Amino acid sequence: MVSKKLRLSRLDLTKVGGLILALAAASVSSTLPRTPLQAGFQEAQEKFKAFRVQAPDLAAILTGKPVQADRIQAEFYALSVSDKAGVAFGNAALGLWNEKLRPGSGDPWIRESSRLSETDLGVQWLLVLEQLQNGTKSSFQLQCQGLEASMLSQGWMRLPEAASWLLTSAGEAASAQQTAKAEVARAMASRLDPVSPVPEWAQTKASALNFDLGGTYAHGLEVYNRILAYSANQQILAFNLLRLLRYTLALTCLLLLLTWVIRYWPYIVHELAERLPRDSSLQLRYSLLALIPVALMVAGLGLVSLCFLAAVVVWRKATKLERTLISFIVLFVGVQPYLTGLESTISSHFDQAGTESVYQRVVQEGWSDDLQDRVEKSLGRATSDERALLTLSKAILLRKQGNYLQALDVVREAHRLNPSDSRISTSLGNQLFLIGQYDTATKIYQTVQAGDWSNGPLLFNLGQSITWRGRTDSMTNLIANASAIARYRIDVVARQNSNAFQILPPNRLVMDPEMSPAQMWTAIYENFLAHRWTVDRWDLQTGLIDLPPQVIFPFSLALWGFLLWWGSRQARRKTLFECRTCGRVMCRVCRKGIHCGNCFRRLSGIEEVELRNQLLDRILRESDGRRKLMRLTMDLALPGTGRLMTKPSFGAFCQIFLLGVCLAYSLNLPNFLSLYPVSETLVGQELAIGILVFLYTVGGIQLVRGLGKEARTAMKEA
Amino acid sequence: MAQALNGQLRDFSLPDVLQFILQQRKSGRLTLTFHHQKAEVGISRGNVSHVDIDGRNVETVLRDWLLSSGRMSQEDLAGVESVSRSMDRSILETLVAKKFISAEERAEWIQIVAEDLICDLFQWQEGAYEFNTDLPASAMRGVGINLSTEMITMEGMRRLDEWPRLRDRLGSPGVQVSLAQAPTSYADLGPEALILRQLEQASAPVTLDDLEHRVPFGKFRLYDTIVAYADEGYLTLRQDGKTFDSKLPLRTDAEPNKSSSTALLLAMGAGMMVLALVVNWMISAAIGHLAMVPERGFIGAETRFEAIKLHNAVQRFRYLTGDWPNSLDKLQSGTSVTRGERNSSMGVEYGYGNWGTGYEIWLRERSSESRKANP
Ligand SMILES: [Zn+2]
Ligand SMILES: [Zn+2]
Repeated sequence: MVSKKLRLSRLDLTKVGGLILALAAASVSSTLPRTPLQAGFQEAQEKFKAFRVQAPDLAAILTGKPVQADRIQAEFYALSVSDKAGVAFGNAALGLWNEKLRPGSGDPWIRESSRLSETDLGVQWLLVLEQLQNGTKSSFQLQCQGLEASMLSQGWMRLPEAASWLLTSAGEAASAQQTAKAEVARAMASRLDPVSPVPEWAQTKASALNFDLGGTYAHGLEVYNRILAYSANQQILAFNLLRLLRYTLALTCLLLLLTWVIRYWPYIVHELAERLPRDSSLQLRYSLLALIPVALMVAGLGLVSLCFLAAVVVWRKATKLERTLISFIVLFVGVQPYLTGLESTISSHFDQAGTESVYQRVVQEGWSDDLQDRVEKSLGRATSDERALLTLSKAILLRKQGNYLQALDVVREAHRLNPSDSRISTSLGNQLFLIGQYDTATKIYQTVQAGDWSNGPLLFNLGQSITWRGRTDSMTNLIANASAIARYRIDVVARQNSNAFQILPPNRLVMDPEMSPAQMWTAIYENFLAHRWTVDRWDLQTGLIDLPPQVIFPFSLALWGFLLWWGSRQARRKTLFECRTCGRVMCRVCRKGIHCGNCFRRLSGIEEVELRNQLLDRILRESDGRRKLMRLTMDLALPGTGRLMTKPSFGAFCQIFLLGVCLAYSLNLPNFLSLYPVSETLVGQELAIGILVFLYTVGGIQLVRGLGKEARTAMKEA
Repeated sequence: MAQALNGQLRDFSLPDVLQFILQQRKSGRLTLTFHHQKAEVGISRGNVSHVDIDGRNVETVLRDWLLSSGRMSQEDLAGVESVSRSMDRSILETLVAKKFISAEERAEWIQIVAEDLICDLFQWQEGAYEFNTDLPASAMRGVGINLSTEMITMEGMRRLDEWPRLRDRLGSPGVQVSLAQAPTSYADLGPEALILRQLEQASAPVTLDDLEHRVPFGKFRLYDTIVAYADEGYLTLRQDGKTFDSKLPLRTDAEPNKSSSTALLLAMGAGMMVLALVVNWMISAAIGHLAMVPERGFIGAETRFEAIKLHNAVQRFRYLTGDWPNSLDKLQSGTSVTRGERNSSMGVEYGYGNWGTGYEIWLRERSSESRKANP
């Protein structure tokens, strides 16, 4: 407490407020955390503010404001050496100044700024952004390379937040016709995140739009390779495709049910409508009753329950084909929990406190308080199965902090906990390698490898350990034997290393082992079969008041059985009829002979046979027109439903399915096909919207043509 | 060109068939068969012009009635039939010519008898139907029937509906009818008044079966009329020596369009929606209150990336403008955070607070506490 007070006393008042808020924020679990880079960036901006006070003209160079050239040198030498960030800003500013005077001459300064801020990614990131905004192409690239080198040496594999920012900037630059700037920003985004396919996808799209076939192919191939090489990418893709499939099927089922409910609504509710005050119009009573399901939905009744409800109300009136489809729908809804279970099995690999996810983060990220915290917390409540991998995570973090001996102890402990885990063994090899025990490391790598040529990180480590023993050709041999994916992984690391470093930092000497895609899929498959998953309402995304997931399947079976029994039972007495003239639904109470009340009123008092027949014809035409209008309206609102309503055909079914796909895709959550912090990830969103537009246009044309025909016949009548 | 339409009544009932023929304005002969029964309906431009059920038609029904009611003797009939044959005209016309019935009566009886015959057909729920246009209706010797198909269908359906109640009331054996009080004028009551005349002639109560032979009406018309007359007080109904009234509940279908119930219904609808919205609000408030940043599963990962995106957007806004945005809405211009992206994948909206020196993003309903923390 005392120390905190002392620290506080030195801060100005606004900062006190900020600190209290930061403390409050830390204690509040629903606050969204910043990443270390984002937190660092915010701090860097504060540092830059201080720097601007000290050296306004240097700051002006970076921010692209007017500069008094004669004061630059003086300001630079006045910078305090102990203020590392300030000096870094100064160097970058000077570098940019010189670069603009004479291209190529600013490089040493910019390199120096990167070196000075090696440990402060936030400052580097700010510099990268200033160079992007106000610098030249090469100054930006150089600054970016500096960031990349610092990131890699600190053990970060990727900085998705930086990459996504650059992609956003690239998008804006592209729309401002600054193609070169956009291009270089995208290329750098891809380097700052060499794992995700998203930056490469952005480049593929940009190349394709510029009709650059070579570029499109190269970047497309890179997208493909990244998906193939990293199991996390495959997981994301598989999870999303599964979800898309589930949503599509669910939406198609909903559309079908909706069509039938609308089609049979008068039959469903007529008897109920008769219980409402009969002196109001029947249409009003129907609409009022139609509000019930809407209200239920608004009140939060889930789609599962609504589906079952719709199946029940439609069943009695449904035709044979419709009943078959409804049976499928009921059973499909029943197996939802299992489909979701499969999703959830994949999904559990993303659990932020889950072992795999924590380990993945430890491999991909550098050390941060947050991550350390996460590992400790997970270790605190880990089962004995999970403990080994989490202990390994801890060891890797220790290594990323530079505590090699401690890391070795911890990884040994992990190995003791689970000696058969290849990832732990490989890491043990890594630690031994880093403290110079090359032979032991080589032996361990070779044992783990055991003729397997598909594990990139392992082969890389093996090659390194042999090379360090002086056999320089061994890496080439290994690469020649490695599988394509393994070679890709090794190539990426080798390229990064040769680009960024003359002397490799420890974090770049070894690659941390990862679960290969094949291993991951086997694990997921086994977990699913062993029913190591739970499904809750969120996963089903059905609604707030709904059947609990456990009972959905038995319930659907029971419902199906009931429907079959109920449908086969002969109706005791026919209670609903259709008006023979206009087709309206009527019951014993409201029918007048063969006519509904409406037709009866219109026909009453007309005795002349011919006159009567004419009137009957007119009523028939009107009701025909009404039905057609209804159909076309449905087709316009949800293309295909109107067609299905009048006559179930395969074409109409396909149309509805296509609509389901597009709706599922474009109504779905952002970040659909990849987990990434940019909107760019809505791969093919344009296509989906395009198809939707097409479907609706066709619906509109059908409507206009239909109406035209109506109008023409009406003219002829006249 | 000859056209044929055929099928089973089970699939396509008689009203449907007639309706179809009427819509097409077809002429021809509709034949219905069920076991050994056979019925023929002549149709001319969609309307009924002839009917014959197992040899019973307007002529035979009227002839039988004249015989059984004693208005004509067997010898008279033989004479009429030979005259008709030699002059090649219908028996009815000869009957009119010989003054057994009057010309006005004739038109009335034709209509009534034909109606009753056809209405009986509506009871056929099974059997086959066949409609042929090759045999013109004129080929069947007509007696001048012209019934609106649509009216007759209506009447037939009405009779189907009401028949069970009439039968329950009068169909039990031993029901006897006698005249209670003669009406002031028979002419006002129409041709059905024949029933009262017949009862007047009979001194003792008459059983229904007996009465049926004395009038040319179908069962339905007879029972229906009897019930109506009983209600009027013209007739007395007896069974096992006791009198009873027909006690058929009268149906009144007054449908005045009262605006009050329309308003009531509208209010009900509005009330229902309001209730639903309240429930929705309550639930989402409860959920929002519980909302924590999800950590489990894909949603957890999504939320993490959403957080990165939102923080990026806010920081980018500040980097470009020098100020923190006042709300996430402000981000729409200048940065690429759409409305959808400001909602979490869980469907809960993100909250945002800016206090000059910093900002915070949280799941909804945190706002109140965060505001408390920030005076
Ligand atoms: Zn009608
Ligand atoms: Zn009704």
